[in-house]
Amino acid sequence: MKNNDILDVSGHLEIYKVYSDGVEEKVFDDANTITSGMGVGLGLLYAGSGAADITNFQLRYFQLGTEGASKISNYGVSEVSLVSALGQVAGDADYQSASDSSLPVAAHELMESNGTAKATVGGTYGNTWFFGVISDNSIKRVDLNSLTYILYVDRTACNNLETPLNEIGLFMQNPLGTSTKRSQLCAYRPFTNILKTDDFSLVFKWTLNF
Amino acid sequence: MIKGHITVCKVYSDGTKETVLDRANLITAGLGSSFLDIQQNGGSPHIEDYTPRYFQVGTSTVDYDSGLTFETASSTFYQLSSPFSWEDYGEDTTLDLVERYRGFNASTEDAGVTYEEMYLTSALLSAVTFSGEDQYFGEVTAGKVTKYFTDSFESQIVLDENSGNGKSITELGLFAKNPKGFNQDSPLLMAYRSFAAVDKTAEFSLVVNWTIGFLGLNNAVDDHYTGDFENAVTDLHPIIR
Repeated sequence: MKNNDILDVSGHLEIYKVYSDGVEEKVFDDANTITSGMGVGLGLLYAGSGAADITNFQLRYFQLGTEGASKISNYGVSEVSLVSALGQVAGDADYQSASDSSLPVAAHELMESNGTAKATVGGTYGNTWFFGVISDNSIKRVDLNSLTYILYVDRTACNNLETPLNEIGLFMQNPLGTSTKRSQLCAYRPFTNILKTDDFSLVFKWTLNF
Repeated sequence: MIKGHITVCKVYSDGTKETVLDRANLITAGLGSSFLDIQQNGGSPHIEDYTPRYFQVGTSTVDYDSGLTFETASSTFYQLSSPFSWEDYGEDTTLDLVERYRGFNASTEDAGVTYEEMYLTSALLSAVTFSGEDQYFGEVTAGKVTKYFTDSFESQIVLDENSGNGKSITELGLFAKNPKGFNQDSPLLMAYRSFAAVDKTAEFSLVVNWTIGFLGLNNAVDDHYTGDFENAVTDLHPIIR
């Protein structure tokens, strides 16, 4: 009986290319993995021992990355970061590749599995990571126990990359309530290569079921 | 995956301990929906309103199918089958008993003319509203909720020697304090367990330990209970606050 009575938290990710003439093309549609970071946040929340501000338990950031191909067949709940998140080469310009990009970006720390701040690669940005911001109106309640996050990467965003996008993660704001915001990965999915250009926007529809 | 574990022990006055239940418990839909409320700024703004604060003891069972998944609505219920009345706890109980407005989701099938509490059913979001009714609850004693692994928490309930005597106890429910953030607490069921009847007498206390955790960092998360509520949270998580 020990494996029964489980509330099976699950997720599903759809990715669309949206062209300027309004044409939509679905390029990805599959389940995703809820990572152990979600459990850390839930544990802190329900024990009342984490951040004092409830908004710190909201999933309000995402990252895109370019090395998901190496994880496509072996990723799991223990992931704490993307393999190669954007922002480590050119900072927020990795996301906002044009001056008129409407993709809001935030910069702060990323939580390791032990709660400490994870360092970026290369040393340029130290412990500072770059995240896309999820606004209130991007979150839609599907039913009592399901939410859909609609992440919009506009035509001017993420275009100056030499490698295709192929991984994405959802992050909880700051469940430990550290003075410098420290987000942790709660859901992760590598996906098929998409070389972003200014011909299309990308829309990620990410549904979580509790 | 969120899962829970519960142990129920008889503890006699001479210190003898007898375990009568040691198994998984059901995490109900209320826990998940309250977390999603947070995501939409739709729940209480206060952290403590989501923590386990109340419990109920009952004498019947909710007939859910523990082998089914969430999609079948097996965890969608918000009440015990037959919770104790005030009198059932006993005149000499030392429990802190309170009357609270038990929260639940109710759905309509007649365009909002009438609503019924959701019980092992599902419904479109547009057909659901939050409601409640007054019931009696025991309070989880302050300091009896803590953490062990980074991704789990545990709480403890004690039904002392003067409580519930003469009753055949078959179900337990753990309730979050007030996830909707109402002016007065409106407890919402977050975990439930039914079991073979325990005939409560004055010879023993019933000690209930709940653990709820996320199956991720540690696969044994449901199978550990520290009982060490004297530990300050800061000892377990020194970097918090």
